[in-house]
This record gives sequence, C-alpha cells and structure tokens, in this order.
Amino acid sequence: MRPALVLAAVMLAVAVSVPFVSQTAMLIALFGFIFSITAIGYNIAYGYGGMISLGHAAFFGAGAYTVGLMNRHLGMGELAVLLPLSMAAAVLVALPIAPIAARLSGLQLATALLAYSMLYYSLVLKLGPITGGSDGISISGLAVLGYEFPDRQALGLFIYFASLALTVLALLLVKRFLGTVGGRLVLAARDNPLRLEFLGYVPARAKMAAFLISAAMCGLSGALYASALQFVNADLLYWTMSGEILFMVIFGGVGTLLGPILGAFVLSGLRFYIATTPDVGIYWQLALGVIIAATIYSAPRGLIHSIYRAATLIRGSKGGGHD
Amino acid sequence: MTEAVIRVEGLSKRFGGITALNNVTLDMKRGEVAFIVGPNGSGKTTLVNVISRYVREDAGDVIFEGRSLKRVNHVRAAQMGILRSFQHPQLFHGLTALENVALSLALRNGTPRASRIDSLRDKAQEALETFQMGHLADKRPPEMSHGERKILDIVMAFVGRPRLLMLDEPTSGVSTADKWGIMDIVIRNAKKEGITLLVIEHDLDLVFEYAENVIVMFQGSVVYWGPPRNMANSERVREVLGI
Ligand SMILES: Nc1ncnc2c1ncn2[C@@H]1O[C@H](COP(=O)(O)OP(=O)(O)O)[C@@H](O)[C@H]1O
Ligand SMILES: [Mg+2]
Repeated sequence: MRPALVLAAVMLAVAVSVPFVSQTAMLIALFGFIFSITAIGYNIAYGYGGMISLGHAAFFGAGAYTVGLMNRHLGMGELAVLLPLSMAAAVLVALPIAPIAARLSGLQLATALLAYSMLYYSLVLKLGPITGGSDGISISGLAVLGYEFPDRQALGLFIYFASLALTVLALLLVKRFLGTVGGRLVLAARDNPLRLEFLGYVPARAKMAAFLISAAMCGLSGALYASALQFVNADLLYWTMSGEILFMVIFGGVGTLLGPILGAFVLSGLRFYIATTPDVGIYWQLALGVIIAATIYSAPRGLIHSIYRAATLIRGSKGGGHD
Repeated sequence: MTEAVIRVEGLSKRFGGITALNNVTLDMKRGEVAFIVGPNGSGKTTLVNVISRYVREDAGDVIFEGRSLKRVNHVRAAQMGILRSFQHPQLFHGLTALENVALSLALRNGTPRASRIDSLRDKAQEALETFQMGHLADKRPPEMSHGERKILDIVMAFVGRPRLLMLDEPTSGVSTADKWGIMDIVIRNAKKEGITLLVIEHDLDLVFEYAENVIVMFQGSVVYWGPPRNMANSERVREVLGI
C-alpha cells in the first residue's frame, strides 16, 4: 500500500512537470492521457462487462464531432459546455445499440457494433455540407469558463492538465465503482449472466449501464482529442479507430485498473513515432497487428501483469490480486 | 390442513422423441423436506427446471403458493422465492466466495440493496461459516475444489431467502464422508428457517436418513411418491433403483 502511494505521487509529479521539460514528451503524454480516458472507458465495457466491441469509435467520434459541429455551426467554443455535452452525445449514440450490446456476446457482438459504428462513418461522409465530409471540420475559438486561449500552446497546456486530472478522476471512480454492488453486478453479469437471472436479477441492466458509462467516457476523450488538435474528420469514426481502442486495452491488460493507461501511452508513443518518421505510415496497421499478436502470445493478460510479476519478483514477496 | 407451497399437476415435457416428464403430479407442504431419486435421464433435473420456470411444460401446471406460474419466467420465479442450486455449480468466477454470497444477499427480491459490497461482508461471512466455508471467503471459485464450489452454489441460493429451495445433486462428486456433513448442514438450516426443500440425490442412505417424502422417477414418470419407509415394499421401485 505505502510503496504504491509513493509510486503514484512520483508519477503524478512527473506528469505535472512533463510539459515544462520536453515538447515531445508533452505531446506523447497529452494524447497518452486523452487515450487513457478512452481506454479506461472501453475497459469498463470489455474488461469488466465482457462486451467486446469493434464499434467504440462511434462514441469517441460522437464526442469529437460534438465539439466540431457545435463549433462550426453555433460558434460554440466553451469547453465547460462542450465536454459534458460530448458525453451526453456519446450516450445518445450508444443508447439504441445498448440493449443489443447487453444481450449478444463474442464475435457476434463485436461485428454488430462494428456495423453500427460504420453507419455513423458513412453518415458523416454523406452529410458533407453539415459535417465537412472527408475534409473534416477545423475548430477555433475554444475557451474555458469564458477565458479564450490566446494560442495553441495555452490550449495544449489546458487540455493536457484537464486530461491528466480526468484520467486520475476516472481511475478513482472506476476503483470506487468496483467496490459497489453495481460494480460487482457488472462483473457477475460478465461471468455468469444465467446465475444472476436465477437469483432474480436481469443481468442486461447491469451490462447496459456499463456500456453507457463506457460510451460516455469515450465521448469525453473524443472531445478532448478534437479540442487538442482543433480538428475532426471521419477517420475518427472508421473501424480502425475502434481497433486502436481495443489494442490499448488488450496490450495494457484487459480488466485491470492501470493496464488501459499503459496501453494508451504505448499507443500514443507509437502514433507519435509513425507521424514523425517518414515513410512508415503505411505500416501502421501492420505494426499494431504484429504487436497485438506478440502480446497475446507472450503476455496474454497484458503488459501490466508482466510488470506486476516483475515487481513481485524484485520485491521477493507474494503478489496480491489486481482488479 | 396446511396449503401446499408447491403443487404440480399433470406436468408433461418432451424433448424431440424423448419424454422427460410424463404427467407428473406432486405437492409439498410448507417446511417439507422431499427427495427425488431415479436413474440418470429420468427427468429429475427437468422437473426442477420446469418448477423454476427455466423450461416450459408442454402440458400441466405449476402452482406456487396458490398461484399458477404459467406466465412466470425464471427471473420472476426467483424473485417470488423459488431458488435453486445446480448440478454443475453456477458461480461468478471473477468474484471471491464472499462476494458471490454478498451479491446474492444484495439481490434479494430482484432489486439491489446496499450500495457498497463491504456493508454485506459480515452477513456473507456468517452465511459461509454456517456452511463451514468461512476459511474460503477470499478464494475465487477456480481456486476451490469441486465440493467447495457445490456448497458455495448452495449457500448462494440459501441466503436469497427461498420459500422453495431446490438442490440438484448437492452431493454428487463429493466424498462419502463429506456428503453427510453437507446434507446435515443443509437439512438443519432448512428446518431452522422453515424452508421447503426439494433435493435430487442419488445416495439412498442419505435419502432414507433425511427424507420426509421421496419421489422416485423413471423415464419421466413418478413411480413412487410417499414416505421412505414404504418405498422398498414396491416391486417397481426396487426394480427402478436396483435395490
Ligand atoms: N434441454 C434439453 N434438450 C434436449 N433433451 C433434454 C434437455 N434436457 C433434458 N433432456 C433429456 O430429457 C431426459 C431427462 O433429462 P434430465 O431431466 O436431465 O434427467 P436427470 O436429471 O434425471 O438425469 C434425458 O433424456 C435428457 O437427455
Ligand atoms: Mg440431472
């Protein structure tokens, strides 16, 4: 317990100082934290609720497009309004498919959600005059509580600290949620829905709640992403985005607290490398595929478990259970 | 005369060409302990499945506390107090034994009570200790023996305040020595709480010791229904059970 607290304090101190040390590190960490919220959210559906999804890009994109569309059509730049609104939009997008997500499973579910998300992708392309089509939407005039950011630097700094704070908040909320009856219900609905029914409970309720919370968090991170880049386009809704979200969670550790954050930082680092190295972009999907295959082969429970195991070996003590 | 807690009338069920239940009529009064015996495939589990509303009858009716369950599904039946355990234990493998029990406690009547699982800790621990499982509170089902999983399955049904509790082969796969221990605890606690108990059991020694009534089934039909002492008088029963 104590060493964990010390470690958490050190990491927090590092995270806070990063923007003042290195521009590169800040960029990687910025998207690391944004994607952490995405991955923590995805992990609630997949890791805890057992609902594997290849459609979470729809919720991420819903958040991003909430910022883009409100900005373009209503000139809205107030993040204190846009961020909560983006969560609501993601929940709205998730609502029609949530009852299905709560009842299907496995490949059936993954593909149903993939198809559902691609609906929004085509919709955005079809409605070009409204959505900017494949050109996307440029975002400007972002502000928080009336304070308009004078330059990209200031905006980036704000999004950085907001994402850091929201990641920590999300982590604490998930930890707390898991200790509630509702949280245990979600795990039980994943493990054995039939038994829950024989105890007089409808497991789909718990699963739907988990799915909607998951979507809300992805929506929030999508909005932060769009705000950081001051740009959205339809790529955010494409199924490969869902694949990247799945990548983070599988790579980091499905159903663990910290695994998704680890996965998010690795994805952010890889993305940065690809974006700044000439001629490697075309190998992006291939690289992700190879890494995932290697992870499933060598560390099927995710990188975080390998780290826990290594730490346990070093300390020479028996490792405890990790949620 | 006390009213029957559960009554089944003319229950029949076929799966394809197989008759799993053939015109079964039975009842149990409140607090009664009855056992179902019969060779594999004789329809014992199907009867429990129909009463718990997991399987629909082709004909006949199930009447629980005076009410027909024709339009009741297994979730609603559980909420009404018809709880059961399973031949193959049905547990939440990602949760500890304590949490498995706590969740069942929390779900009484189908609406989650208590927001923090910790607030149910003491009650769950107490229930585990009643079944001599206290030392396993922090173990997850995959770390437990088959026998321990079977008991945990029973504890989960037990703490849900059953008005009718049905146990499907609670002692199968358990050593002969442990069988008596388990059955003793189950019967004692059912009696203490006045639970109406229906148990599927192969071990006739246990049946003769604990049953107030025995239902002998064969090929979907009830070939004997009555107190255990008269059982062996019937040629048909001796034939079916090989005694
Ligand atoms: N869901 C089902 N589908 C098809 N056949 C079934 C099903 N459930 C039970 N049966 C058949 O019905 C008969 C009675 O089964 P069951 O009630 O499980 O017997 P028991 O519990 O006495 O061993 C068996 O022949 C079994 O194969
Ligand atoms: Mg059976």
